[in-house]
Amino acid sequence: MPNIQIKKELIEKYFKRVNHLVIETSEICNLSCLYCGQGKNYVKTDSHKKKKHMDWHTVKPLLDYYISLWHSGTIGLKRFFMLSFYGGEPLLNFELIDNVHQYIERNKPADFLVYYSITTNGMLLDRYIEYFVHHNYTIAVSLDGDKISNSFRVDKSGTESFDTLYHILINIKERYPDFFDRKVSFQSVLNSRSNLIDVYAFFKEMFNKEPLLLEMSKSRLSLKSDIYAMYRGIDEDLEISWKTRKEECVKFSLKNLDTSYLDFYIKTYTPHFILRYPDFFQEFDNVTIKLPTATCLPFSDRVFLTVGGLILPCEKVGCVSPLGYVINGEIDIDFQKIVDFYNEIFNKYQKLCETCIRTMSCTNCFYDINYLAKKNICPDYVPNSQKDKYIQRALEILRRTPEIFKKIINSID
Amino acid sequence: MKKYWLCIEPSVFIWKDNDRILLYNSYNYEKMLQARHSSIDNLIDALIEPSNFFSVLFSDADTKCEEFKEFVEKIVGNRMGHILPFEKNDGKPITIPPHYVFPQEIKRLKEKKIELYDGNMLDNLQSVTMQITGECSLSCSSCDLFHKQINHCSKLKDELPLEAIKAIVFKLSLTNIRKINIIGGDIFRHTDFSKVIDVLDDIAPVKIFHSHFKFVNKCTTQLLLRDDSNILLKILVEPLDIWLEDICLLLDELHEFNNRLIWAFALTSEDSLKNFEHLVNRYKISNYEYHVLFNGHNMDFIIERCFLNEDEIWQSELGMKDVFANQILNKIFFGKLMIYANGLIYDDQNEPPIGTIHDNMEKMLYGLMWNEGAWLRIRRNVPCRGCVNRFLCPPPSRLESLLRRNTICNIITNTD
Repeated sequence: MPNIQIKKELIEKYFKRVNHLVIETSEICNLSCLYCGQGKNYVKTDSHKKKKHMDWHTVKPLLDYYISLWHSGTIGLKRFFMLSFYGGEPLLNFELIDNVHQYIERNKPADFLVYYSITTNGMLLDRYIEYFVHHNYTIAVSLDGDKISNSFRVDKSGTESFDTLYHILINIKERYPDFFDRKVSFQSVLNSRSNLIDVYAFFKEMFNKEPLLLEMSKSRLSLKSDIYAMYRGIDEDLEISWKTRKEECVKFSLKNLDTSYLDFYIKTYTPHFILRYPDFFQEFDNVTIKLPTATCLPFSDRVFLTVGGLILPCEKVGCVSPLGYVINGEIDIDFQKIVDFYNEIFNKYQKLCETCIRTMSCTNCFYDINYLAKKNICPDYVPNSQKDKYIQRALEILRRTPEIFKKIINSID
Repeated sequence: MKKYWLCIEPSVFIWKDNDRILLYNSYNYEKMLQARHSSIDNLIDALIEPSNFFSVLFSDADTKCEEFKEFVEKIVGNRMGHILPFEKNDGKPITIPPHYVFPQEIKRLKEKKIELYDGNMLDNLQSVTMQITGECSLSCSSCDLFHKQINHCSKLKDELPLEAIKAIVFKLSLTNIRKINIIGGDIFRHTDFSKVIDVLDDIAPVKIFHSHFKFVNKCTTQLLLRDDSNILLKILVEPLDIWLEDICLLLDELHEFNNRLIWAFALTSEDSLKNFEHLVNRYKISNYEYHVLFNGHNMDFIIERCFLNEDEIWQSELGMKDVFANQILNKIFFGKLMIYANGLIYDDQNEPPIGTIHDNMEKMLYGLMWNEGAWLRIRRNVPCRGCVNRFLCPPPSRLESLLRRNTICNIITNTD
């Protein structure tokens, strides 16, 4: 197989066409959650940070860049743009949120839609909720479940945050029931003090919602990290739940592992799965080529701007390899350098991925794998020699529950 | 009583209409047609049922029916399936039947009332045809019909201003398109033609200029092709007797450019077909294409040369993915747009425009996909709907669109 050569024009195109900008509004937080990615369990990576809050001079050049593109009528642009505020705790720098919002609304083309969202721990939400309701923000609140499930989320003095946050949320729900229903969602990190069923039950009962479940990141762990003591994997918990609490799994429509496995099987072993329309055209080889790992191409989904002015592909990858900078009011991105970096890593992983049977259903980002195993060893690598085992398992599932296949093709066929 | 599994190969498609059953093996392109019979209807229904995984149990008693027995033997004889003895302790044989799984198919999203397409619409764009001017000094009688069937020049009073072309080219440079076709009128009559070439020079896709042979000579060819191997010239020729001598002269004159030329022959009669064959042989033309075109008064020729009989349809050799493609999209139209000199944009020139050069392209493509326009036009209408051959047939063509017909086949189908 030839070497992978992503072209810089493609990445440049992605940077122009992207429709999601995430701004790290503040790098500090009013909580000290024990598993926090910016806490003692993780290696700090943003050596460029000298500030605590995002300042206007750092964010403005990027806003101006996209606003001018919106006015240019460039063909690649989507019809809308998403602007997200992220932290630390973004509400500690509310002034910037408001400044960005006002600036965008004043300068964007009249018919261009911009959606705003914020990810927050919610502890200051009561102070600003009117603003967010008025401007129709989407709010993602980090809450791990009931008091016990949420007990790793503590303030600076070590006091659990649950009671305060719960009170704030109930209050918002009562004051703005429609907004709460439509625009407030929850993100829950599964941990050793929580489990899927209890978390689902809590959110269903208290807020009539389903949370977005997340796992603690296993990348950038520091040497003395306690993360493994607090860690709980979603798939492992799901498997246990289906064995021990099946009725509740059905009640909350939890993902069935058999269905997920068959989904993987069909993607991997059959020619039946179609990802997108261009897959039918060989001439689209630069689009449909399966790149090693499951790493997104930079800016194909979003752009993340840190307090320190680093431009990153997303908020999850750490700051070790910034793709660009905003410095002295200028955007500084070397697209050639970016593709050289990605091509080098993709080519390193190519051989490994080529011989892995999970390549089509891979979910690993190379930023994560790199941190985990510097020798390009993937934690989820399954060699071709185990293919028969995987096929047998799929066939067993189909024999046992033939309706699953129909469900898969009916729900999508 | 002994029992057996009839197991169908995973590459086999099974289709049925009111009278017939067709088994098509997408691995070796074998076809097997079977008249429907009450004794095998249940078997076919069971095989088509996805959760049976292409394995159906039958017994000795079933084979006492001649039609049933013959059908099973035919399947095995054609290597479209095999028989396994039923053993109580063995599991059921499992074969994944050829159903496509395409979560992002627009049709599925619509059924589920999901309005978000999780992909970039612009990634679907393959090629754009841009009519830079509609001005032309010729008075060809058929160009108005030809341009509705292929990329062909046609007359219009408008011209795309250079600034508009620049804007389009800049926008296209941000997409993944591989090809830009430039057509006229007479492209050389564009007010700023040399500047148009300069503008196009800067972008990566292959550029194919189309010109009626009457406007092409050595000088214009040199001007167009430059040293850029990314530029090709397609010469449109209707090989009529009256033009034969001129065409021969041109073929001689342009000999040195052969590898950068595409000769596109428009065939409208048996005579033109003969002339075409003569020219290709005499001048050993290798880069050519030919198109059988409707000119308003040659319907017999069209029926003779374009309409398909069942045996012609059966000559198609489609892999599994090709069959899926015919079930999902139209490979003739998909990914192609046509921009006319008056600024209107079409997915199919025989239908109303889908927008203008001033519209947001992403939005336009979203509408085109969401409304299942030409890109997603498949054989879902009468008389094709329900025909056993419909996914082996070529997709609905521009000719069908022009003639306002839903098919160009000669099969009299018994469909709903």
